[in-house]
Amino acid sequence: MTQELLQYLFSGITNGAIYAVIAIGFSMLYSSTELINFAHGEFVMLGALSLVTLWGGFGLPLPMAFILSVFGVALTGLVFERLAIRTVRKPDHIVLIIITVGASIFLRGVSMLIWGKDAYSLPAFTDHPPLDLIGARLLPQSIWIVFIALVCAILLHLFFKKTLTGKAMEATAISKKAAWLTGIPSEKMILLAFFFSTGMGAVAGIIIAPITMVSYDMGTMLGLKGFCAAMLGGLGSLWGSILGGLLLGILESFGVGIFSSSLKDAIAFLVLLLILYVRPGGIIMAKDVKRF
Amino acid sequence: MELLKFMNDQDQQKQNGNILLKIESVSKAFGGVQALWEVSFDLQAGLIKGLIGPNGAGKTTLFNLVTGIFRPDNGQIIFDNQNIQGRQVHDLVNLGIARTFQNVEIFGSMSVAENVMVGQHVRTRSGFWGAITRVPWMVREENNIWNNAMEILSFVGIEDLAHRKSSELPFGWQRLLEIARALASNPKVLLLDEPAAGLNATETRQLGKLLKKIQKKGITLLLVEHDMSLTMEICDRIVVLDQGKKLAEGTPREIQNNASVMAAYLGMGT
Repeated sequence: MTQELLQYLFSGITNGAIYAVIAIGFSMLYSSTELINFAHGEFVMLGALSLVTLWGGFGLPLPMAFILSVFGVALTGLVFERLAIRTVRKPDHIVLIIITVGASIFLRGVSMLIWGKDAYSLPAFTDHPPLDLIGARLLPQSIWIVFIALVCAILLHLFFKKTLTGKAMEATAISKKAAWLTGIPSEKMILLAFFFSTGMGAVAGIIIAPITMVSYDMGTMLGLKGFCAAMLGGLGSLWGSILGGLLLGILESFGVGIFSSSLKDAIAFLVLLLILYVRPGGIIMAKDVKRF
Repeated sequence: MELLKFMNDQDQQKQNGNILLKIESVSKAFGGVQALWEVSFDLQAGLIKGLIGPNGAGKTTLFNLVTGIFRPDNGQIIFDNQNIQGRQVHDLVNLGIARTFQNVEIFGSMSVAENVMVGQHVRTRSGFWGAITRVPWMVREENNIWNNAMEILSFVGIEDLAHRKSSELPFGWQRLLEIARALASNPKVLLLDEPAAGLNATETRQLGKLLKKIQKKGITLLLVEHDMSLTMEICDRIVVLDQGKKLAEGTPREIQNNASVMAAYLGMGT
């Protein structure tokens, strides 16, 4: 029994770390622009498929393929901001959100044309045998996933706390008006937020690629899970997103193990509904929640 | 010979450099409301100029024009011999125009020191690609930024509060923090929108001293203020606006004795 529970915990933490990275992407963009990017899941998918091409297809060394994929996807994020978001004449929240839904369908369509409808699979980053911990199996890829998620979180934390650009971004998030008049170019800060947010999406796609089937339509569900995680932890907060991601992953994994695997996706949305009823600001209340 | 050259330079400066900001028959309307009508005045470098007038006279509108938030419908604004029409707000901060607000606008969840550090943003190499690629340089620059911030905080007298969360400060100190943050962008001119509003008498007196100290550093000040004793005490010259038009300009003494100013304020017929 213990080893089963431990097994659920391992797989919960693995999935949770991925949800956390996706949630960070949602949160970062939300705190700088108050925009929920429903195309975020597609950037996760783009990250995974880029890795398929660069690492699996062209045979580039993994670290290089990793970095190129992240930068490539982040640049796509910039283009997305320039073409789809910036050009909107009347930037209402609702209009922008619907645009992101449209962009999501568009990106999925383009990816289907480029990579086809088949699913790809990638080997783990390193081919060690699974570790045996009190009878539970821990995959090396799980360690990679948690490790990379942690490194990303720490780097982002340092960026926001230790660099002036990070502080300027934070300032823009706190008060757009004051930041603008203090001489912080808000447009650049928004671009930077898109860059980091979509880049984080790509990271999530890359680390999940070896443990799932990679295909053009993998992003939607991952995006929604990441969104649930961000809401659960507190939209706009870095550590809240991580907490929300891990919690969601673990809840899901135990739900699947104890009840039924058909419940897997339902759990995320049940959690989302509960959190919206009980504590709409999330566990870490980052921002005042506005009701439409 | 050297001396002569030096004196020539000084003369030159008096002729060219004396006027830092030139407002030239500026007009601005919002819908049917004429907020400003053909207002002109100069701001001499190194002076404290007061901008007074009843509510709705157009003072804040004028600030918003100078800081690039609005564009004037007509007229020109020349800063440091450059026409600044249509420039982006952060460009103007870069040129040396800083301001504070009537209702204090600080970054509440940041520490006092962080607020001032962010104020230095325009003075650092922080372009978009720079931010992503320039990691090794960042550390050294960060240290300078920190030292600068502490220097400015001690200049305004709140260096002990550097690590406090800025939203927890009493209002008077938040105002000082806002001035500190504006100074952090190393401005040539500082525009203060009612700096004494909400301050008690002691705090107002201290504010007056601080503004004089800022002037001694060579920074030109333009302030909108309703506290007349403060305005009369620290301003070198005063411009009076009424219903969007310039009513009078002169030294505090001249303004106090000006009949049309008294009429505007007290509602007496002229």
